[in-house]
Amino acid sequence: MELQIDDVSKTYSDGTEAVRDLSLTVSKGLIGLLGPNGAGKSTLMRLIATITAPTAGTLRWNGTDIVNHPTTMRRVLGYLPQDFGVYPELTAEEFLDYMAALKGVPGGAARSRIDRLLEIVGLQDARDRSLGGFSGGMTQRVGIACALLNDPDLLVADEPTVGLDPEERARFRALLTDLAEERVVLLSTHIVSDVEATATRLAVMNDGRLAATSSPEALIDRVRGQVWEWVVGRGELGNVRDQYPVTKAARRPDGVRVRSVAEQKPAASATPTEPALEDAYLSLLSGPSSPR
Amino acid sequence: MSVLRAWFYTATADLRVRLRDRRLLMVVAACIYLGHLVLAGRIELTLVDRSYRGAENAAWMGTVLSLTAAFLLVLFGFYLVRGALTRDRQARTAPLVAASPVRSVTYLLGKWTSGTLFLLVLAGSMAASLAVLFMLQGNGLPAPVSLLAPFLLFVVPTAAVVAAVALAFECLPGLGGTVGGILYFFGAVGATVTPVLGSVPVDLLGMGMIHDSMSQAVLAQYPEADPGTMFSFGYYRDPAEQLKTFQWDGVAVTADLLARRVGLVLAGAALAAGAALPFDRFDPSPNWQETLRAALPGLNTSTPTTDETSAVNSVAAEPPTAGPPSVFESSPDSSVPEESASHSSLGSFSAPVGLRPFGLFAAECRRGLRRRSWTWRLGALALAGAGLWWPASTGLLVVMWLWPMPLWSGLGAGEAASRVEPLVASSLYPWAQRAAAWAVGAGATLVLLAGPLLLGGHWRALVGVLFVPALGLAAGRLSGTPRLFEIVYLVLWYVGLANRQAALDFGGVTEAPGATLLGYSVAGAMLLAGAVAWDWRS
Repeated sequence: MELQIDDVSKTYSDGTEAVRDLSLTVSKGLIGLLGPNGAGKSTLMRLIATITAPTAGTLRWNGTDIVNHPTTMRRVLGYLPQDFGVYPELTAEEFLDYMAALKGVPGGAARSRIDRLLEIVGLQDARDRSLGGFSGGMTQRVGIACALLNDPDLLVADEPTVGLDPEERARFRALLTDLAEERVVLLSTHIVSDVEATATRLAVMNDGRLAATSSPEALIDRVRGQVWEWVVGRGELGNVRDQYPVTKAARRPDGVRVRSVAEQKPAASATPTEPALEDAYLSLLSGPSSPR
Repeated sequence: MSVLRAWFYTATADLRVRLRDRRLLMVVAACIYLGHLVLAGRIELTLVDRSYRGAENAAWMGTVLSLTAAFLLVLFGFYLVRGALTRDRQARTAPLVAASPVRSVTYLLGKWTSGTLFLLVLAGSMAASLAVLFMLQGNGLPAPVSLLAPFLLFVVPTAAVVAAVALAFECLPGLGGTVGGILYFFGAVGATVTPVLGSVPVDLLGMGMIHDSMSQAVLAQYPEADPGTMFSFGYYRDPAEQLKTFQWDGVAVTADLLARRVGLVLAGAALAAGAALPFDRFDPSPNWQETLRAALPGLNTSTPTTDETSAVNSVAAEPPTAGPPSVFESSPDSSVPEESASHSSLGSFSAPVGLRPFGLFAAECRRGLRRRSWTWRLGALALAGAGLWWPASTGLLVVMWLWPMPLWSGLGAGEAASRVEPLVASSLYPWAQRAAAWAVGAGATLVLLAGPLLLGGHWRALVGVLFVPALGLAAGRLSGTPRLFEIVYLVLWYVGLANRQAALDFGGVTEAPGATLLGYSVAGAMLLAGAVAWDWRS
């Protein structure tokens, strides 16, 4: 199981370069795709899901060009788009049955699969309710079930935790981790905590380009010894933000405790602290970790 | 001041969205071409059985152009401007509007202003093309006042009323969809024809006024002219020959005329404002009492009340979870480490992947029927039964070809409206979904027309069974809305079926020639193949 992306670019008709010369090889495991809003993550997801074609470059699944042979990908794909809808006039079960038919899942297998998936996502009691009355979180869970209908080899989830409450998010992350043991799971998010504990590998996108690709540990190691915490006066916070990438700021009675990434000790009172993935991520996006 | 600002920004934002739609280019190109047809004399206004026409001066050209523009706005403008509220729902700006302090009346007047201006932009492109072509032919610059006066007198009020009716239909329950489109079409045909036939209280296009003014001019210069059959206006492949020309300097602008035309603009504004009464303000579960209370002045505060806000933002309650453990359910042992929430019981399956045509067809049937109301379904049953009882009736057949319009118009547009496109497009058989949708449209038509087809000898209607659902599917996929199909189909239905024009009859109403049947069959097959096979990846 391998997805190979070579020099892929995507320019929209209005001239927006959403993805630029991006190369990435993805194999079994959970790969977290991190990046700020507008980094090009969703476009890359759509390219992989064969919904849109690249302007340049190739995408291959197990060696087969999926731009020219999209069916190869669609056969093994589970896709949860960031923005999707459902037919409000159908019930959850009917909608999933409909999507199972589109995915080519045979009738008998589809029914048992739908039963199990509705249990998994906690919608078994709502299976006969019209989707038009579902809340955002419930619709998102229908989308998750839909993505898993065909037992995909490649699961592409674009901001999947949007609309889920914290407990649902934690459990969905666990589900993804479990799924990733036997398949490729590509999880796009701008929420670092969604991938911090679960991803075997991270790819960071910024401005359409791949800014870094590594394991979470290696990414954290890049800022080891460069993460500092200290207390500043409330009026000084703006100056600190101008100089350093601040990853946390917490109000205290004596001022604001800031956490930042810097190559040199930023203040006399600053103490080094254990780095986290969010430090490494923000440092990567904000450029060199020296004073600006 | 804040009301004016809200009105202005609602109108400009909506107009920007309309003008930035690239599909507009096609409409503008068509308008420019129509301007050319007017100048070339192919769109012709003649009097007394195509015997007289006005001398080619700016007043005459401007009036012919304005009548053409107003006529087209009445027939098609409705379908072009309809959907302002639906667009806000689909763009998901609706909750933001609903929760804002803007009054419904202000918001709707902004939408109406935008719709009116949009129609005037289209009509203006016709006028501009005519003026440019007029100059390119070496006629010099047309007199701007003579050209502009009929535009202001006849096109502007028409645009204002059409935009208001489109908005009101969107606000009225049951008229926002295809049913409203059909009703409007009949109303529009009536509004364009009746003023020429006799005196009516409302002359939307101003045809009656123009007719009277021109008739007087003809009779003054040619007393022998028969005033009985004065007016003839339309598209002609071959311009009329040996026409006598008469001098006409335009409709005399009297206070009465001005009052009538300005009155129409005000009526349009009043209708748009009045639409606030049935407007649900994007409430997903509208309540008539609340709607009226929110719309009526004095009863509504500028800030939504707690109740209103909660209604707007209301979402379905999460169902209680029960039964087997779920990855998502709240459980007492929520402190269980994440690793324990294994999905291993989900398992995997190795069932062979394959196309399920009957499953898809059944699902599409279910979806197609669920979207229709009980009244529609009962009407369809009644029509099918009537078809078995009176299978030879062509009048019944004409009606039968109108009833499934809501079904056909949604065949290709449903995915865009429901935002299911990414799920369908990334599935294994996206083309099969389109084929199944067509099969449902064709199947429903066959069932409805079973009587005329099997017992009434109307076998030619089979051509329509292939063609019409294919047209619905293709138009819906191309435009993403049902409107393109509605415009094209209503014209074909009106000319070919309702007026029994055999050359355009796809429905077995007349003895349509073989060429017509072949043409529709080929067109249907091509539309179907294109709609099913077209991969919209870009």
